[in-house]
Amino acid sequence: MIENLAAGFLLVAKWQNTLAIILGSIVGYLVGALPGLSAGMGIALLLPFTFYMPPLTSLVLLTSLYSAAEYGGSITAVLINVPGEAGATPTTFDGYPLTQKGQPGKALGVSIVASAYAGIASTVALILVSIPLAQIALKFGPPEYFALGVFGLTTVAGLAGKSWIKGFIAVLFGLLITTIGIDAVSGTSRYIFAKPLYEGIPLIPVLVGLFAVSEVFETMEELGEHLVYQKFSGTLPTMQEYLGTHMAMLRGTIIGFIIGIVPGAGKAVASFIAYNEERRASKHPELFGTGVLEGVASPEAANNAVVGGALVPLLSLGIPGSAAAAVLIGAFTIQGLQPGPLLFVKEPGLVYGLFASLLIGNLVMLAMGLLGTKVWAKVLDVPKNILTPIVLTICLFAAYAESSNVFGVWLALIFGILGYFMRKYEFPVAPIVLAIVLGTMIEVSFRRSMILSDGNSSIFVTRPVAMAILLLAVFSVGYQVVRDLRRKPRISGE
Amino acid sequence: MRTGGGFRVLSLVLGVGLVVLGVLASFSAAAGAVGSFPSKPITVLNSSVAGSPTDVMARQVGQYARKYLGQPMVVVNKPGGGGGVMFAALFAEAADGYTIASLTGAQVAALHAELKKDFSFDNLEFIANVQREPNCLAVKADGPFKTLQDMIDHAKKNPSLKVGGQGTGSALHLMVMLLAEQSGTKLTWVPFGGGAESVTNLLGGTVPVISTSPATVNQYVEAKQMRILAITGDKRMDHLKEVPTFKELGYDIVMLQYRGFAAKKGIPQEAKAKLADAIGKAVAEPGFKEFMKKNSQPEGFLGPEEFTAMAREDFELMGRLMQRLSGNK
Repeated sequence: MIENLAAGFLLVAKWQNTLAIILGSIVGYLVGALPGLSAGMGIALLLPFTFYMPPLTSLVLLTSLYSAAEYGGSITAVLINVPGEAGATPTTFDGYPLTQKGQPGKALGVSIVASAYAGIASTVALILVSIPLAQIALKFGPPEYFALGVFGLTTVAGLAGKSWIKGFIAVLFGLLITTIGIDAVSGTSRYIFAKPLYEGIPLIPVLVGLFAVSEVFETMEELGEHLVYQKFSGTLPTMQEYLGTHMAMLRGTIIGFIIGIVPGAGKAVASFIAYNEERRASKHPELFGTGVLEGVASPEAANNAVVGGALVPLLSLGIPGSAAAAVLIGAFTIQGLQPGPLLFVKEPGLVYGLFASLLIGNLVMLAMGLLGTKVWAKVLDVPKNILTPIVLTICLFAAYAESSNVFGVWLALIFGILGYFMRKYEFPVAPIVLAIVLGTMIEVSFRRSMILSDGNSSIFVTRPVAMAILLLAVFSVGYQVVRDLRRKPRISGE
Repeated sequence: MRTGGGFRVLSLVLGVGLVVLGVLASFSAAAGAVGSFPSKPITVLNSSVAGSPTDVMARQVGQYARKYLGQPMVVVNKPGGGGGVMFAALFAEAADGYTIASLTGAQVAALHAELKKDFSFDNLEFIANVQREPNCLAVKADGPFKTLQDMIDHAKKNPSLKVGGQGTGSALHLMVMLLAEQSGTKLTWVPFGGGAESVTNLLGGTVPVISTSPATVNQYVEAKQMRILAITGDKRMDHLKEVPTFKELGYDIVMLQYRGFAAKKGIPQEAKAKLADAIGKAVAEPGFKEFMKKNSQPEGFLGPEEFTAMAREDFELMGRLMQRLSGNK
């Protein structure tokens, strides 16, 4: 294996491949930072340009893009409270408060270090254990997806803010939205009043609307009142602050890697769960949401660890672990390669070259991120009355670009207005995103499970993996309730 | 001044918005201008995820057709709803030849079932067919079923044997219903989102049998992880000499899945001819032929007329089968 990897490094050292890493990282940063352009779309956009490249160069380019895009989403999440990707949503919870305190550099520094740490650690895991771990992907049938979805939903308890009731209302609203469109089990159309709704409510316009457009409305209101010039510092975290988040990075990496292996679960699920687990593991959970570094480190590590995780079933089974990995399959097949059980045997050079490029690519991404932090933070020096309209324009363009349809723009505006009123009345908006990410998965896998078991719901407890995840979900909710009950009397006593 | 600031921002927003809209409008106006087709990239909608056989076929055709079209063919994946999501996207666009679909017989057959009320076969214009291959039943190589007979025997003793596959009311589904009817067994259909998902659930042991295309499972058969029990062709396949057809085994099940390109009814004849011509030339390229061979795909190019006739025949057969089988329930 060592000599294979060494050979891989030699292949990557060729100028074409090194150039591909740098180019891929730059495009990835852009794609990630622009809300509405996801890693998967970025890969799909670059795919036609890879037709005439040698296979390794093509794959190196696309995987570097993939890694960097998973990080890029956090830049806007931290700076302007707009997640560039659904997976960066939890990064806004503590990243943006840090910016509001005038310390965006701290949040950006922790997020890039956490991303690169997770990228490298998950690549090492991919190299060492991809074949045995690929079995995890196969353990996930419909009942397990259902259980994972339910577990994912329990993280709403951590997102709900002050009121549980309001959090649940937001989640239920999000779940209702996912029932719109053509049902994937029976093919029946549901709640389709306008043609574009056949595909259901797409995530990007909702994300952009709830987070960005509503923020823009609020800022416009503030602009009318008074203009505050706040001083922002691009200072990076100290070594001690980095080390303080080490456990958060590690936990985020493990969670992201495992969820990455599970095909179709996705990085958003990983980063929401990682954020919630971090909050639970923390000694000061009440500070989460006010700008703690662990709250940035953990979800950022998780959404980058998904990259390594998603490549596990892709390379060893031919099954994509994420939407972006699914597009990567296209890149393989265009080159006449079939990712799957025979790839390691037939093309070891390519596989190890890809591993080597992931390791190097993460370092390139880290270097760009650290050097860039001061530059990104400059965005905040732009007066709000100029920045705000630019943000709005980018957002509406993102909503349009998602499906090249003006319908997306209307959706973004409608959800922007909704988000504005939700903020006014202190409803959290993140649970809606969570519910949209998970809703279809929960419903479809529940119904498939019922078909598999001939309508017997015991299927969820007789399959060990499904039961274990459901128990985790129960534990997660129970723990929160118990802790909240214990904490309350103490707080009132203070 | 309070309101002054708000108005300034608002007018700035509107101004930027108008500029953006203007640029967009001029783009689409330029694209719509009359000239020789195609003057901009052609979008190929695909109802399955990237990497599926239809997706790869479309991307390969696009790669070779580019030099004949002078424009790229860009594959956009619209999975879900048994093909309904893709059809919705196709019919939402103008019939100008710039948005076409790569589709399979299975998806077209779904127009008999749930998709019927929203979409119709007669709204499709068939451009060119590229591949024709049978469907198959696949099991795990180390599983209990070595032959189709093993599976039928098991199903007779244990009713409600689960068979997974893509879509509801699809050809893959119909083939399983036909088998259940003719063998006197009860088979329960588990609809999955696509071929890759069927593979995962078979390898993971969630379902013991899947109905799929040989192209989806070829590499797993080669890696000795799966076995194909029978195929729905009228003769055996070159690379699967040892696999019997359903016909040989005494079942009246002959179905061929096709993969080709279609558009919304009413595209300009010039565009249709140009596309069919470019696709025909693309599939005759040595590189494309090699791709077909690598993936063990039999060739099956058909121009617009023959493709329309074949698709209609297949569609009507599926319709009769569906009606009969639903009548039997």
